[in-house]
Amino acid sequence: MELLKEIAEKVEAGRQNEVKALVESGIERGIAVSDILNGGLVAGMNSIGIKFRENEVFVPEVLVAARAMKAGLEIIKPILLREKVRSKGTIVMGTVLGDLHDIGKNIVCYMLQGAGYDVVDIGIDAPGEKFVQAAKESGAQIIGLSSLLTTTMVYMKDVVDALRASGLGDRVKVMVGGAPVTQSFADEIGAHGYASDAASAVDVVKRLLA
Amino acid sequence: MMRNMREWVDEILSSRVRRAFPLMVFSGAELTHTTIDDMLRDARTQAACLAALAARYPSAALITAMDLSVEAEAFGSEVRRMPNEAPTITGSLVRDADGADTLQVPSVGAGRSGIYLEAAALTASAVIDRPVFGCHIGPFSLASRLCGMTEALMNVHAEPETLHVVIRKATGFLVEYARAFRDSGVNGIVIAEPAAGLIAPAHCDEFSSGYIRAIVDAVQDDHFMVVLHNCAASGRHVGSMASTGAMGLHFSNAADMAEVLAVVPAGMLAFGNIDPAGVLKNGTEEGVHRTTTELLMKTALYPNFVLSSGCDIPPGTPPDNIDALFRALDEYNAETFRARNLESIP
Amino acid sequence: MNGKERILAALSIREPDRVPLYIHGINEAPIIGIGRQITDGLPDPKEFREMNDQEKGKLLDTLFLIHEHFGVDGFTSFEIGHEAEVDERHVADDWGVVYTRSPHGLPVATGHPVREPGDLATFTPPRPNRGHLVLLDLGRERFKGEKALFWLMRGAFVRSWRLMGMENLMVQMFDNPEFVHRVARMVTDYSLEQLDMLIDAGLDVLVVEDDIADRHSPLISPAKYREFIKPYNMELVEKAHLKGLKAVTHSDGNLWPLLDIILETGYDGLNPLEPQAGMELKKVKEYCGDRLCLIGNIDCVDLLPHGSPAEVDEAVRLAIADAADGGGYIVCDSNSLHPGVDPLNCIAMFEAAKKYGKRRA
Repeated sequence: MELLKEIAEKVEAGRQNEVKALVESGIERGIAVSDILNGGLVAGMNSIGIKFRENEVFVPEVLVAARAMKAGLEIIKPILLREKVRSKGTIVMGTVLGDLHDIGKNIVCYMLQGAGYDVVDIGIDAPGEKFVQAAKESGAQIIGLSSLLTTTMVYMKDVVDALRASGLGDRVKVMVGGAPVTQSFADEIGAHGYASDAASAVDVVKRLLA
Repeated sequence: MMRNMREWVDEILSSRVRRAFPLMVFSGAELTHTTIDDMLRDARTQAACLAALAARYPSAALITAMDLSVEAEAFGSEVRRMPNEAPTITGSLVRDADGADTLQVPSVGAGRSGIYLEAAALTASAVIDRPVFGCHIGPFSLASRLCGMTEALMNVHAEPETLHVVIRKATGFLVEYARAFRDSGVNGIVIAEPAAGLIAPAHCDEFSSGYIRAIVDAVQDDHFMVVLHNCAASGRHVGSMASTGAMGLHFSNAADMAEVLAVVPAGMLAFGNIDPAGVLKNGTEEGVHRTTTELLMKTALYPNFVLSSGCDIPPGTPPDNIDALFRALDEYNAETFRARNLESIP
Repeated sequence: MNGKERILAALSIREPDRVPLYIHGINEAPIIGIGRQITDGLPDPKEFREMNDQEKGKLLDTLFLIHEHFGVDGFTSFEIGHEAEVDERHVADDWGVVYTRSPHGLPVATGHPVREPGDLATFTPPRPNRGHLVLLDLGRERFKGEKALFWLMRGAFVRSWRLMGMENLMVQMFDNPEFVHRVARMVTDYSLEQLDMLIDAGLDVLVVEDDIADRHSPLISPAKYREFIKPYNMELVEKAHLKGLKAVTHSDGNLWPLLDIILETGYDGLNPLEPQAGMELKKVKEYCGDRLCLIGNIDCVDLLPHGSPAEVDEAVRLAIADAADGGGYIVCDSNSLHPGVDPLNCIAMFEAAKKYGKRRA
């Protein structure tokens, strides 16, 4: 569909005003909002995610693309709610206790929103209970943990333990990422998934929710 | 007991025998089975410790306790007491230019300064076979304790005027304190300026030596000798230290004594510099003996050298190690010093 | 050769008498951990600001002692006294940037005073304060020309994002490039003035500390780096060279896409060569080792915290074998001796540098 392709291209290019105009035009023409979401907005973010992973574009390009996608999403959100379009899933995202770095986590949040998921971002320096609380309140299926330092990475285990202790351990899965984190560390602490970059994080979420 | 200190210096300069004056006070607490804290809070206890040291060791002179928190405490700084060490200053009394302007200069006797003067007086009358030195902090180091060390070092560049205000007030107190030591009957004072060696020699002139000169001019005479101790000083600082006019300069183990002696004026005594912690406290007897002998040999050509510890000898230093220092000195004197023909020194 | 001569030779791509050793950054805990092997009377590990004067003095003295005892050839200094406490967890610097403290390393900028172009109208940049160079002064007096004096100066990227917020800076590169240029100009003018002070204070090596990449890739595209960062940092390098100093740049991460631009900027050295980011010594040396001195690569993420001294020893041996021929390599860790490193491993690194570093005949 021409219009949807154009929306995707404008999202990729970070053109928020043009995305808004095209989304409104699509609604007027009676295109289903779920198509606008998946065929237009999500498709655009998916495309930029792949380019980001391939180091063809960089963080600024992802940020402006995410901004453009959000601009379009704001327009169709009320309609999605009205039509009770089901959420693809909810993920609680945060940087662990003692760690104040957030850009990596933020990119993952944008990519996940760009893929059509709902994200609850609890910010930086978050202790285990905060993750668990947010998961309870939002009904999230996944908790995503980020850490930049080898010395704070250890707190990821605390979150896994807190989750188990809260009884949510069966329903909520944990995925981890960040500069010092590895697949074997993820296995060691009992995490369900590990992503080495933002684009892969989306794939991990897809796999965990399947 | 009153003593002509210029003659004492001359005696050392012309002596055929090396002398030792280690900065040794805390070991006195161990000799008399008291605590450091007691020694620093009670004049009689301190005097008894010093008398015990005089009886036990053949040092060329004695020094009262080197507690560099007394003066700052007198100004009002907060002090943290330690049971077996000298107290330390916490926090900073002067936080800005206003604080410097409103800082009050205490009178002599404030805080524990009276205890030290009393200990000095008691020791001066009890020990008569050698000179007794009092001890107080230097003006730049006192200002550092009042402002915080980092702030003082920064203000050398950032806010020198504010720093000068504090140092001036510090000097005001120290001149009176030094006078009070002289009145107590001791034969001199050691002024300890640990912080001044951290700064460039030019700044040492401006922020320390100039003020110490004022203290020296106020109290030093034939019967009262000032020795200036600077923990971090090296050969580059000697000029600045010597400009104070003190009759003696004392160096820590950070200095190279040979390098220092090459520039200290010939008539000024230069004391130093066995590492008190590394060698005396934590080392072996053999190590002390060796290091002492090496130092004595390295400085053999200089009549104005007096063996000492680099800084005050820490509590817990094994008495056997201190004995090893004196034993090395005796052996050196017996075998080496007399054998040298001093007239051949250029 | 003394340490300073050694470092300057390596930075000139000439072979010194042995491969120099350098500590780029070290926190309180490792100073104390390593220090306990060579002196006593050290406080328990805590932050510098929580120490009383006696403990601070002992810590600084120990830092110097470590350099002297282990033959470290260069000493790193950086600003002290430029931060004011906002509350228990936050400090602000002289630009008004607010940082949140962390026990795991340096404070992180979280409050940014210049977000929109309009903010510049009411923003007055600070002037550099000579008093903040206190650590350089202390190092100069202590080492008396025997060791090279390095200074960590934040580059245009870091100074700009601290003022603007990182995501905001990146978006403004698209929305308002002129705004980004104005901020870069403002911070560079400050840096140039501070560099004058540093030159007068006897600095030998300027380190333009400008973290701009993660393990996978630079944070911004080469094109944006060339436009918004390179010209400004280059002014610092040119001034340093004009006054006879050497210039090094520091950035973690994968710098391969930016390496040509870094070379164009004229730096004498590159630090820290993060192994996890593909900055392999052999490869970088092959690419530009004739023009750029390599500094670092001894892993501080895994090896120095969790490895054994024997493994550290081997890593240094390999690094020297890969990069030191003809000069142009300085042994250093791959970011900093942070609170997680094992002191005995650090000592193994220092000793291995001596052991394997002697000039090949």
